[in-house]
Formats: sequence, C-alpha cells, structure tokens
Amino acid sequence: MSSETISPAQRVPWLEILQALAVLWLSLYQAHLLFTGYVHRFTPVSLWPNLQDLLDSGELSERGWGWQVVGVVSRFGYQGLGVFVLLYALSLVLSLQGRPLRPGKFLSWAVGRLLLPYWIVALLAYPTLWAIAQATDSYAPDAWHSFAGLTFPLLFDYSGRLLERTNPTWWFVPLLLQLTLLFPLLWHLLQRWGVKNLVLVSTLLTLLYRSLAVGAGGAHPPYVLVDTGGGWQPFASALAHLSTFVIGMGAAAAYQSGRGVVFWRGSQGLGIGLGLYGLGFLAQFYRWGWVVADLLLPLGLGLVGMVGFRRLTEPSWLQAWLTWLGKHSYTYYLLHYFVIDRTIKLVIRNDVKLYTLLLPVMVLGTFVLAMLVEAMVPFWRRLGCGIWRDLDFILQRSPHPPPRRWQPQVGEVVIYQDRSDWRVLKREPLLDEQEIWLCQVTDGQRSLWVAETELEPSETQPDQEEATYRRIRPDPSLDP
Amino acid sequence: MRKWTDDITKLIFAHVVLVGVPTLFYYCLRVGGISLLNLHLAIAAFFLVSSLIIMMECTVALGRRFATVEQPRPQNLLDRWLRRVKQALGLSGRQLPLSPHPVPRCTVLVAAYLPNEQDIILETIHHILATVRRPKAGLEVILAYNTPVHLPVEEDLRLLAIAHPELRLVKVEGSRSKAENLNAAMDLITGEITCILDADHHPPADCFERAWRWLEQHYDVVQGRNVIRNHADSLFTQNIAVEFEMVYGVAHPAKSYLIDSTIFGGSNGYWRSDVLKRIRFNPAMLTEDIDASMRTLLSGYRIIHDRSIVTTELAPADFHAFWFQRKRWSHGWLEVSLKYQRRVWRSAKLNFWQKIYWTYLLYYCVFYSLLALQVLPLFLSFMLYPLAEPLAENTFLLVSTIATFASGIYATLVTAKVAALRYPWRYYWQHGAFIFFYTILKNAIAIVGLYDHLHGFNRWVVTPRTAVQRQPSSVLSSRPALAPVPPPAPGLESSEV
Repeated sequence: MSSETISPAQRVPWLEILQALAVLWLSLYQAHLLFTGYVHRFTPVSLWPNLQDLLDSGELSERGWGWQVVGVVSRFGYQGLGVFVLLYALSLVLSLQGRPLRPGKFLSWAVGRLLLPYWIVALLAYPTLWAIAQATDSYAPDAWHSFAGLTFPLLFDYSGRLLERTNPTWWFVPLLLQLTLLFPLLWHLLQRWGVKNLVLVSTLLTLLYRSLAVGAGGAHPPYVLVDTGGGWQPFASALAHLSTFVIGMGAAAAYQSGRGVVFWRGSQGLGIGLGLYGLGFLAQFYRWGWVVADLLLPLGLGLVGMVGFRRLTEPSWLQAWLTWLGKHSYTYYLLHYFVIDRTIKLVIRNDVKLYTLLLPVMVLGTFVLAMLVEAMVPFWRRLGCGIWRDLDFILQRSPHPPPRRWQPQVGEVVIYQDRSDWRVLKREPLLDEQEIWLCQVTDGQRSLWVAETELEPSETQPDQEEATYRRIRPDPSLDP
Repeated sequence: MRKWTDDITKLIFAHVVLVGVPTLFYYCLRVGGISLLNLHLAIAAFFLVSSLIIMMECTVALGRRFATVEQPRPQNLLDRWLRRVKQALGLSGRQLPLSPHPVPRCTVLVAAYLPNEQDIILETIHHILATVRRPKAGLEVILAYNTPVHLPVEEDLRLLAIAHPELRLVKVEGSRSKAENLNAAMDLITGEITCILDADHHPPADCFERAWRWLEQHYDVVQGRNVIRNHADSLFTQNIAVEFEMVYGVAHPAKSYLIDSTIFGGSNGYWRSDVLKRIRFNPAMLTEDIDASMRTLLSGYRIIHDRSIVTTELAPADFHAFWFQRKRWSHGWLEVSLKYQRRVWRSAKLNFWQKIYWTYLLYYCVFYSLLALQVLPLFLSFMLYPLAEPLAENTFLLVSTIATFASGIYATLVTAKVAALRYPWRYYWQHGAFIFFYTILKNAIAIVGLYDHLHGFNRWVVTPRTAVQRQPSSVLSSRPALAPVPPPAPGLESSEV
C-alpha cells in the first residue's frame, strides 16, 4: 500500500514479506501466461491430466531444470491473490491500532490508500503506453477505456470489466474496494458476534455463494481454462472471498489481544498449513472443488509463510528492509502487467533465452517503477488537494470559516492528528485578516506549533471538561 | 549535524522523475513521428514571459524616486535630458515631502540564536549602539535570543547592557526559532517604530529617519536594502553579493514602484510597532518573514521598499550553509505560496495588478523551477533522436532564446548601475559567466525544497555564522554608492530610493 499510510510500528515484517512474495508470484504467473500465450491453464478434469500437462509443458526446459521449476511454480502464481486478500484484512485491522473504528474517517483513509496509487499509476501508465505505441506502432489503450480507468470508481464495475480492457489484472482493484467498503460493517459484527461466529457465518455465506456460482451460475475461477458459460466474473465479487477476508480480520484481532494463530508454535502452524494447502491444491482440479479451493489455499499458504518468515525476519535490520519492501507490494501489483506485457510483446516475443534473461529485469524494473510511483504519491496528493482547496476557496460564497466554539487553553490535553496525547504549552495570537491563535503543543518528546483549528478537545478528560474548555460564543443550536 | 550531501539522493530521484522519465517519453514520441514543436513553443513562451518581466523590472528599477521635495540638481545636459525622458515615461519617480514631525521613539529588535551567532552578536550590538542616530524621543535596543546552554558571551552582553541602559536583553527560554524570539520581545517594545534585524546585520545611521518618511505617509512597513559585507571572501560570496544587489536593488524596488506592494525580508524592516504587535510571527512557518508579509498585505497594511536604507549582512560561509539557507527559502516560499495564493485572489485589500503580480511571485515562480526544467528532457530527447524536426528555423523559439539570454545580461548591467556598493567589474563578469550554472544550482535546491515539502520534512537548519566571517572586508571602508551619508543636522536630505 502507499508508503505513508501505515506507520512502521503497525507493520509486521513477516506480513510484509508475504505480501511482497504474493504479488511477485502473481507477476510470474502473468509473465508465464503471456509468454506461453495462455496455453496452460488448469482444467476441471481431475488431478492427473492437469499434472500430466504440468510435466509436459517444457517451454523453459531448454534453459535447464532450474528454469523448468520456475515455470511450474509460476503456473500456480494465481494463488498469491487469495494470500493478498488474507493479508489485506490483517493490515486493515492492524491499522486501527486497537482504537475504536470511526467509519467515515476509516473509509476515507482506506479507500484513499487503494485509489491514490491506482490513479497515479493510471495517470502515468496511459500516456506512457500511448508514447510506446507511437514509437513501436503497437497497442495503445483506447480513449474510452482510458477514461474509464482514470475515473474509476466513477464508472464502478464490480468485476473490473472496464478496467480489464487496459490492464487485465486490475479487476482485483474493485474487489479490494468492495472488501474495504464492507470492512466497517464486518468489524462491527466482529465486535458484536465475536470472531468465531463471524467466521462461521461468513464461511457459510461464501460456500453457499460459490456453490451457487459454480452450480447454478456455471461460473469458474479466473485461473481455469474452460468456458463454463457463466464466466469468471462471479468469482470477482467480494462474496467469493468474504470468508478469507474475515478470517484475516479475526486473526489480526486475536493477534492484537496477544493470542490466535499468529502465536501458534511453528510445527502446529506448519502442519495445519500444509494440510489445508494440500486439500486446496487437490480441490482446485475438480469442478466442485472450486467451491472450497480459494478458501483453503490462502489459509494454508498464509500459515506456512507465517511460520517460515516469522523466524527469518527476527533481525532488526532485516525487518526494516522487509517493511520497506512490503510497502511497495500493492503498487507493484498495479504496475506489473504493463511492464511484463510490453516487454514480452515488444522485446521477448517467443525467444526463450530472452525470456529467462529479462524475467529478473522485468521484476526488478517493476519494483523500481513501484518505488518511483510511491515516492510521487505525496506530490500528486498535495497537487490534487491543492487544486481542490484553491477551487473550493475561490468558488465558495463565504471563504472564512465560522467562529470556533472551543478554544484550547494552556495545559489542556488535546487531539492533534488523531492522537490525544498532546498538551498545549503556549498560545500565540496572530493577525491573519482576523485574529487567529497558534498553539505550541507537545507529546512529551517533541513540541510543534499548530493552528488552533487543527486541534480538537480530548475526550480523555471529561471530568475536567467544564473547567478547562472555555466555550466562546455559545450557541445552543450547535450543541449536540 | 546534517550535510548538504544528505540531499543528493533526493536530488537524483527528483531529476530521474523530472528529467529522466520525460526524456524517454519525449523520445518515444519523436520516434513515433509526433511533433513536439508546440511543447517547445509553450516552454519557450514561459521563458519569454519571465524574461520580459525581468526586463520590465530592470527598466523600472533604473528610474528612481526621491523621498523629499528636493531633488539633486541635474549635473549636465545629458542628465537633464534623461530626466525628461524618464518623466515622459512615467519613471521620474514619486516625490515625497519632508516630514514636519520629528522621528518618534524607536526600537531596534535583534533576534539571535547564540550558539551559532555568539561570535558576531557583540559586534552587531556595538555597531547599533555606536552608529544608529537616536531620535529625540529615544531609542531602545532589544536583543531577543535563545541558547540551549549558558555562554560566556551572555556575560559580555550583560556588562554591555549595564553600560548602555537602552539595551535590553531578553533570553527566550524554550525557544527554537527566530519567530519565537521576536514574539517574546514584542510586548517589551516601547518605540513607535520597530526595526527588526538579524544578528549579522549592520544598519546605517539614519535608518529610522528614512523609514519615518514612509511610515508617516501611511505606509506600515518599510523594507530596506541588504548588501553583502563579506563579499570579498570568495568567488561564491562575490556572486551572492551581485545576486543580492539584483534582488534588493532591482527586483524589490521594481515591485514597489510597479504595484506599490513588496515583502518584508526578515531583516532591515521598519514597522509601525502597533502593526507589528498585531501581525507577530508564525513559528510554524519556515520563512516567517514572508508569511508575516502576506498577512500584513492581506490585512490591508502597506509595505514599501526603500533601497536607500542600506544594511550590510554576511553571506553564507560555505556551500553547506548556502545549500540549507536556500533550501529553507525555497521551501518556505513554496509553503507561503500554497497557503496564501488563493487568498490573494479573493482579497478585497489588493487591487487587480497586485493580484496579478503576486500570482507571478507565488504560483508562477513556484512552478517555474519545475517547468523550466522541461527544457532539459526536450533537449536530451532531441539529442537521442536527431532526426526530429529542426527547431532553429522557428522564429518564436529564436526570439525567446535571445530574450532569455538578453534579460540576464540586461539585469546584470542594470544591477551594476544601481548597486549600493561599487564592486569591481569582474564581479559582474563572473556573475554573467556563472549565472547559468548558478541558476541550475538554485533550481536544483528549489526542487529538493519541493521534495522536502511534499514529504513533510521541514526541519530548520541554521545558517552557520563563524568568527572568520566577522573580519570586515575592505569594502566596508569604502562608501557605498547609494549609502546614506549621515547629515550633520537633523534635517533630512534628498535620497534616492
């Protein structure tokens, strides 16, 4: 996710590296599909024919057994998607830092961290693709679908069909958006019903939905090469991934209370993880197995990954590095198709040697681009906010805000930037067309000057409220 | 202590994004046969507008105005003819009548951060006490300083205060900025006029008399001219000296002439004390002086620039100090632009031309560093694909290129003409020779400032002042060309502004 959204204290290193590996795996899968021309995708005809197809597909065999293994592993890269959903839920819960959820504020923050990198990638990618198309006389995104991409979610489409035309992997963005919008409700239910009940209900709901999708709807997961009539869009809905998401939320909630799967012993996590993954692996080759495969695979992989990386990420220097790596994973996902698609179609074509040479370059190049985009996020955010703020100021009828009802006093505990551990040290009047007040606030470690309008009264001192909050211009109609 | 080299990664990143990526983009378009001529013309138009404004400012700055009824008599026929031409062009200048009222009680408010400025502060205080002429109503000097540790110089200052009862020392506990020091001393001011000075600034003897003329004419702030005292130290300080002459001798006065509006530059500013006590300074801003200027103007007060009030100051001692000083200025200007531009547009206190000019100074100048840089990727992509259309035949591009270079030469010549100090001509030649690289350097610093602003890095890095800088350069002994000559009597002489 975008770099400034989660403070390092909230980040869990093994979670970061798992997220990064999940998107890396997805990008390898995409590269493999593009290079092989979408020839190898699994079919619902039981395990053996698929395994046979797997062993027979030797596009990379001429480059040695190592590359053949890479090819085989790449073919299962779609499994990274479920892992990403699971970890996304974990990261959303961790971002709350144990504080009560304020739906409005949470949604504006969480939707913003999904959409801002997306818009920046779209804004930069479309002109770049157009420029490449001019230089190479190749494909360029058409105007309508570029507009749909740039204005998403104005033209919201749950399955991402409009986005798919310019980037087939972007159907995942609407899915994440759906899950984000559902999060406040799910969090409320999790507090009300408890983790177990919510997991139970959501799993039943998901299984029912997926059964109907497979049975009545004739749908199939995106990674299956078969025309079932129902298409794969039902699997792009949030309902198809609800239980994975809720389990991720539950695991994070338990982790914050110092219990749950995150604290399982290594052998326990590994055993259960491998078991779940094995079942999911088998299930994906059978039509009715699709109902449960996407539930079991991410849980198994998540557990195995957690056990593996929990130990590896103990050194502090490695934690910092992995955290840095992980925070680029979402942007990496948004970008990877553009890089891989253009490189394979314009440079590699059918050359196996070139493919093996350029695959690491594509991965690294995408990562570098993700870093650049992440670094540009503050610029675009400020530019967008600045334009909006200026426009709003110019167009509004009365640009001066109404007088405040509360004025912070020296010594008072106040809320600043959502933290209530600030205390007012000093107040300073200034003339700025009208009289305004600046306050010097401290959190015990540092002090800074801020406008009093940026401060809010703290709710942690209700007994002192009458004594410390001086109400100016009392207006009964404004009182709650 | 932070080094300027810490910013190199930011610099590289910014240039990869602003130069590297656009170069590849333009290259692809050129290969695809798409004409970039319109883009060239747009960037050229941008340069042309800037050049024309520079030339206009320089021309206006050549015309002088006189702060009294009496003008110096024309020296010869040429002088007489030039005056008529200027009069016909509207450049003869405004004539300000003599003040019938005596200068009221004045206050000099000096702000200092002592660990950094302990080597120079005594010299500055001595200079003020010994040089500045006292109005009949009296003069007080307030030194508002902060220091995290007790310093021996504090004892020296205490002894000086005993010897000079008009000197008041205000140690501001807990302060971490100039704005906090100034605000802390605000309630102690007893003068009607307050001069704000930095710790390295040496004001002239008749500074209050000159400022009073304007303050009495319903102006609220008078900004004087700052020149570099240690200009002979190095090639770098020589260049900065010419640059300061350009800013304080040409750009600021031109603004003041053209739109009757200018800025308070942080030092050598003379305020009506009642206005200053209302405006005060914002410690949250990196350039609290520009912030105060904007609040002053938006609140309906008036600022004027008087380039005859010449104060000397010290240029940064080394490149490290220069880097952080300029980065703070650039960052601070950006901060102020983003905060006040929209309010300038809606202000009822500014007229149409003031709004246009302030838009040029705020948003236009902020984006100039970004847009001007686009010349590089356009040029580089052209080098990578030389088969693209020829540009040399386009008249507009040719004119804008000539205008851009000509404006630099013209500005240097005008600066030499109106400079407060008579520098050796080589200073100007050097400046002309290095201005291209100097501008690139300042643009690069501005871009790092932008990067810092976007990423929320706004730590104040103090400009180091060392004992070495105290050594007065030889120019101090020579009289500045426009430096005021202390009159023998309290009457006021005619002075060019």
